[in-house]
Amino acid sequence: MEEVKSKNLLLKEIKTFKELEKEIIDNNKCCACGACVAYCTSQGFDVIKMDGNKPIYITDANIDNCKECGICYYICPNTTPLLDQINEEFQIKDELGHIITVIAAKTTDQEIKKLGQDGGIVTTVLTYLFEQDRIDAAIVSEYDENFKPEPKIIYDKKDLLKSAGTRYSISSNILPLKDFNKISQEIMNKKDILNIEDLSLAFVGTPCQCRAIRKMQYLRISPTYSIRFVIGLFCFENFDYEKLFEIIEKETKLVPANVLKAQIKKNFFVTSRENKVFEVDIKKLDEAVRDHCHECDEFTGRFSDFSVGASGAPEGHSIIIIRTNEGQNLINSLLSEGFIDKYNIPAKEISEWKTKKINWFRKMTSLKTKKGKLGEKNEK
Amino acid sequence: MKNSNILVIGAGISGISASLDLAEQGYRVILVEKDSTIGGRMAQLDKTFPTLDCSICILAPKMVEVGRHPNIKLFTYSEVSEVSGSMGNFTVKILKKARYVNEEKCTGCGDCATICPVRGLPNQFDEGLKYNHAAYISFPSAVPSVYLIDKEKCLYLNHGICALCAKICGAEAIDFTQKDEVLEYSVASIIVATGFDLIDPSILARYHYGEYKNVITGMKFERLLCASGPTVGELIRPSDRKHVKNIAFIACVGSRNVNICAYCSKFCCMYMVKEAVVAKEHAPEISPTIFFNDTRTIGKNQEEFIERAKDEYGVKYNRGIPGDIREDPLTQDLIVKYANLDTGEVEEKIFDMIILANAVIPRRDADELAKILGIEQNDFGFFKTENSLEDLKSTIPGIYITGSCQSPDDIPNSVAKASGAASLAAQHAVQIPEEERVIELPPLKYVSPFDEPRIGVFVCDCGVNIAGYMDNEEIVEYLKTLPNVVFAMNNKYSCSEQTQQIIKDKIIEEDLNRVIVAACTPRTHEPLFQNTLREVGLNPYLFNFVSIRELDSWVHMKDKPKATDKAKDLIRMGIARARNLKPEFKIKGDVIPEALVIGGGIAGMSAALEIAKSGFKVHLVEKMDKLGGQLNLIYKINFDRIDSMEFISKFIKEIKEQKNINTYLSSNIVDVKGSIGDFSIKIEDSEKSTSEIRVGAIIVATGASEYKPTDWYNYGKDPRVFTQLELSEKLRNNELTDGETLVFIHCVGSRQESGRSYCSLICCSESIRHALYVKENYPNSNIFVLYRDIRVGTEEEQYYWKAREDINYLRFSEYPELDFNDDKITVRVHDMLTQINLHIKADKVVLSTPLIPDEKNKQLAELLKVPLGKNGFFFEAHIKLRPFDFATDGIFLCGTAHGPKGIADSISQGRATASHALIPLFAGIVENEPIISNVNPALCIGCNRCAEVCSFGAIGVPMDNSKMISEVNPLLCKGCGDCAAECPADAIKMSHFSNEQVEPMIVEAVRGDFVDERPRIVAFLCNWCSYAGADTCGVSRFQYPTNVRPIRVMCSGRIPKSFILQAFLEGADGVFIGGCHIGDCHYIAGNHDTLRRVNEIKNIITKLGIDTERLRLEWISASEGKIFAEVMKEFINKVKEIGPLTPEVKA
Repeated sequence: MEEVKSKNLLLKEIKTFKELEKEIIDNNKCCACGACVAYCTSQGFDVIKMDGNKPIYITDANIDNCKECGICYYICPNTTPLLDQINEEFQIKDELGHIITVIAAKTTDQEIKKLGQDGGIVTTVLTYLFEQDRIDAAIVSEYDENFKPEPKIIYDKKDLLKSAGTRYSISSNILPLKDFNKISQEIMNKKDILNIEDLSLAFVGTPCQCRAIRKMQYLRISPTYSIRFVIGLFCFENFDYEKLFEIIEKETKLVPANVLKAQIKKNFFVTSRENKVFEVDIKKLDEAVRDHCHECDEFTGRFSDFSVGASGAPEGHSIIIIRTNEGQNLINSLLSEGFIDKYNIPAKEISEWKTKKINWFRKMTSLKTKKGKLGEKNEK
Repeated sequence: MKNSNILVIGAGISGISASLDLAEQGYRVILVEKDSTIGGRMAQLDKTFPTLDCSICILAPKMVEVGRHPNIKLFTYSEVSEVSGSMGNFTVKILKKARYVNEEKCTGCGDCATICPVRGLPNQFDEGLKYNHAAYISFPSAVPSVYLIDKEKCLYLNHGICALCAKICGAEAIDFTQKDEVLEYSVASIIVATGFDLIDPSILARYHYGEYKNVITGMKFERLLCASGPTVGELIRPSDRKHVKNIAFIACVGSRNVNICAYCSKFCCMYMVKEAVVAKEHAPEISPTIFFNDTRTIGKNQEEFIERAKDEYGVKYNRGIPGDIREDPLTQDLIVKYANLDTGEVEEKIFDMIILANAVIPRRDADELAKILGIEQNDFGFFKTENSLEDLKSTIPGIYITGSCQSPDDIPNSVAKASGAASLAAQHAVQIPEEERVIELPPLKYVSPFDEPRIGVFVCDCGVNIAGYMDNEEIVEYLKTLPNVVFAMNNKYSCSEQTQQIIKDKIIEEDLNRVIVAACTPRTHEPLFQNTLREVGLNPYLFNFVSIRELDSWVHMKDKPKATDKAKDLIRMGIARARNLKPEFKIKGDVIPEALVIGGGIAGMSAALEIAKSGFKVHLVEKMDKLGGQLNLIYKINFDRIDSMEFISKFIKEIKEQKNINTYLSSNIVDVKGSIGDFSIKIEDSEKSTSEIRVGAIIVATGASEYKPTDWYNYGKDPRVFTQLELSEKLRNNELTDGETLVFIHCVGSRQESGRSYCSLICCSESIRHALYVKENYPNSNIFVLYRDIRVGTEEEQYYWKAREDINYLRFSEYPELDFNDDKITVRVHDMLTQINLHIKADKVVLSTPLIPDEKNKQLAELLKVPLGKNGFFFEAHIKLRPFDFATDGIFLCGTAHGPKGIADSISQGRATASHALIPLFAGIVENEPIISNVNPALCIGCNRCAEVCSFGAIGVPMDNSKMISEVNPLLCKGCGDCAAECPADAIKMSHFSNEQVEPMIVEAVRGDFVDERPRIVAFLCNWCSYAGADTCGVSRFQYPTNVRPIRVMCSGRIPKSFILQAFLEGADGVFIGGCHIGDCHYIAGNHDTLRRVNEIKNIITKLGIDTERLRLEWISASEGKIFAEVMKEFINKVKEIGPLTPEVKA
């Protein structure tokens, strides 16, 4: 700090990764979004890395490389700085965030329907954006052969098919951005794009990840200035991969390599590669739930351009909560060009349908946080 | 009590010109610029019309001069916040906004920007097409070369985090504690040169600007065209980055519109055709169409440029502004519906991109500034002038206006007006007193050519910019082993105050007599180091600068060992030159404190008055028996209808009252000898008696006269047919009859395909003025005006509209025919708009004819040894930036002798030449850089080849047959070296770039102790273009292989065939020569001679068995960084293909 003071600065106390560890990571509040590691690594600072689901100093020797810029602390979705500002920017007044409208829809593409979780909406939207050349890349989560989610940047709609469907364990979707500066050169050369800022990306992530992205975009920092679309996913809770599959194996004898699809619809359903469906009591999975999830009251993802989820959707459809003008324009384009079909609300339900859904989301949100408080109570 | 300070507000080309003039004359200029860099709009342009000069190439040297001039106090990122007082004594408050970067310490290295995590902020300079970080600089060659931090977006200033820039800045230049500062100055006068803004075209909804991605503005297109712009000159459109093929320009977007801007923006017609031509030069498959109303030219050679654009470049002109643009939603192509006035049909065409020529508007802060200064604005919001003739004076005495803030104008006019304003502003001030100007310098140490060279080398790390890509310690160790190097060290920032002190200390301690700095580029920092040497008693020409950043570290970022080896080679080459450097001394000549003005018209009188008022004697020579020139023939001037006789008599009275002015009426110049500072002139009057005078400067103001079209329409035979000037006389004497039909015919004898191709610029407004006057005073007259285009200035547009109320304007494409068979004259014309053939029975026919150059011009041109242009008007040094100087120093040009222009422009130009003439007059001496040629009389054979290649008249066998030996005028020589390369007897030596200094560099370049990989390429690069292009390439970090060893020369014309041969004979595998594009040569025509020599030597080397592909000549301009890299890569690969030069040839 002496060195820094001599350079004409009147530095206040800047909170660095040390404080991030103390207050968030070691305090069970980290949601493993990957933002801190993505930012720091993309700047070439060589300080921290992701170890499983935990950001840590690469080694003790790397601690000295820390430039003490304090940005990792600021962009962490679970710290207080910038929350007021992004709440204002996105007009968030309550736990559901700003809602332009709510619809239910499903894809019209048969192939995507087969692979999709419910309505196949996210995959269809990304396919559209690639086909229209409105994005150069998308950040999604793929499954490896052991049903473990792997966050990835993809550049072609072909790669989308590997990322359809819901993930039921933690995927640090912001993490791939750590190599953004290297990877972007390739796309730029291929497409003759001259400025990195002209690249266009879509981001798909959980509410906490979207929150981190918005904090980074508020500061306009690398590498999020190229993200043009933020697609949020409904998220009730997320599971630790190891713990989850321990329980699944115990209950169904299924090993990860044999899992084709998983779904939570009142209970937990696993489909094997032989197409056999197994049901597991969802309460049994509570042990695998990540601690921090129940402190989070963002069920519907307040910081997206639009959020997608199954909760409250009619069979075969997904709910889309549209939040920003960009989101609205995009969904309208898909609707008018016939890529997705809107659910026709039965005539007698029309006037109340939206309110009913909104109340449902409120209920789910409060359930989520209650579960956390219950959990706390149980621990005590 | 008079003051030496003059305030100039605004540092675009106009502000820069005014500041340099005043600073050179010895006044102190306080130059305030709102932006973080100077340069204004001109810096954003790719090329300028009609010369197609690279804009930043011609502007950058002026910017550097302003940044360095000891008499200019430059405040950037600052504004004038308060003004009080009155002429002679204003008190001004300047608000200097905080950059958060210490200007003294910042070296412009850019490390702060590289590490700043905030990105994606649209860069204003690049019209939002490129982005910068929160720590940024507007563009790489900004002056001052100092970064700044965006207060709104900086993370530290807003959130207290980050500060990475401060942590990484090696020079400790980041200072977040900086605050806005208010400084107060007392100034004698003020010049306002704040420029203009452009209207947001979304105001015209039908063009969908902002909605349709591929509809852009002219300025945005300019950035796309620019080789150093956001798309490196690739013409790709915003929506899909596709290369464009069909592009359309739409004129008058917002201008000439009674609801938006009821005036003409003046320069858009020219920039549209320029952009169309440049686009075609980029990509021949591009097809540009210009949708227009009238085409308006506003200066010299512009009419010809438009015709060339149509004929040679195939630019299509469609008369008729489109009413509708639609976008194809799938392709985002644009569908334009327009009226084709030639066929009379409505047509539709598809374009990839549309460029709107949006209206020029006063700056958004113009109202505020007007209030602060207390000056008035006119109805359009531009700053108001006294009247249409005194267009340099604002409504407050002591405050002058120039450039587009007064009225939209192009570069040559803005430059002329700036100098005119400077001459007026200077009247209120006194020069900086001698004591304050002279800096105490220690006496020069005597260095003899027989002394052992003692060389000190200072290698710059430049933070990480050099040290990060090569091993500087290894380099320093290597240098210490070289002969004559007695001291070597590396330092963090060689340009810092600290290092200057270290250099000075080492010169004394180690008794150095040569100094080398290996760092960035000599084009900016060489003078700094030369001053440092001088301050410690060492001759500044014993200094050599080696570039290892732009030419090495920045272009070889991925190959540390090779970059290090190349640096060793480059510095060793620099040492080889340094051993042979000699002390050189500036050439000085005395200036006789008198001036000659040839021509007593309004331009000449204006010039004479300003020079006389400054205290110098003026000899005003006029061929007629009275002063006033053409103004004697005009009745009322301009739309204000100022009485011409009254106006001239005011001037003449002032002239008579000036005791300093000697007027010679009915006289001519019959002999001229000498050069700047000392001309001997012989004047002969009507009685053949002669006077001989000696002057320091000459101003040519010989004017022009109205063409009498005896070959058109029975003019001269039928008294009913007469010219506009003759009409003016009739109006003065009230000779017309009411109730008659008058037909005016425009462009009689101008804008011709063969013969007079130029537009005379002023006739349209003259015609409108006369038409209005006739209609007012003879209200029953029926007037028809037959025209091709109506060309009026900004404020004059409204009078054109007024005229059209009662007067019939008919546009023709074929000249009307006249029949004289009846008692009336039948005028037959095809009206383009209605497509009808009309027969008009006219009582009088008035012809608008062009101004033609004075018939004595040719004689005078020969006497003065200055050139005439194609149309017989005098030819200036540079159409854009030196419109009123001749290439020959000390002779200046103003008024219609230069080309047709109006009275206001003639007056400002006259004052501008005075301003320039006053520079040597005030200084009392003229100085020249000692980079000049020297003739060895023992070797000279008197062939005069040197004179034939010199564009400046600086060398040659004297015409008086006194001796057959060539002589150099050291005051006129510009140092290009063309003569030295041309001399068949090898009798000419160039000081500071002599053969003894360059040849050892060639030897070292090829020696290749370290170049373990062939080919070895020697590249000769000219200072002004190709070397600058290599610099730009470095700044933009375009990479190329390490095989090239560059040698800088002032002009590619310097390179004799012997250098090329020597390079091959030493073992170079390839020789590259870089020069300016033809037409752009800094020394006017040096590159023509380079081309010839290279062609000649190709024959010779073929005979030696050397493949001619090993020799490459390329024209690369200063902005063509990417092209430089591409050419290097290509050439290196080519030579690699051919293989190494075989040993047999070397023997």
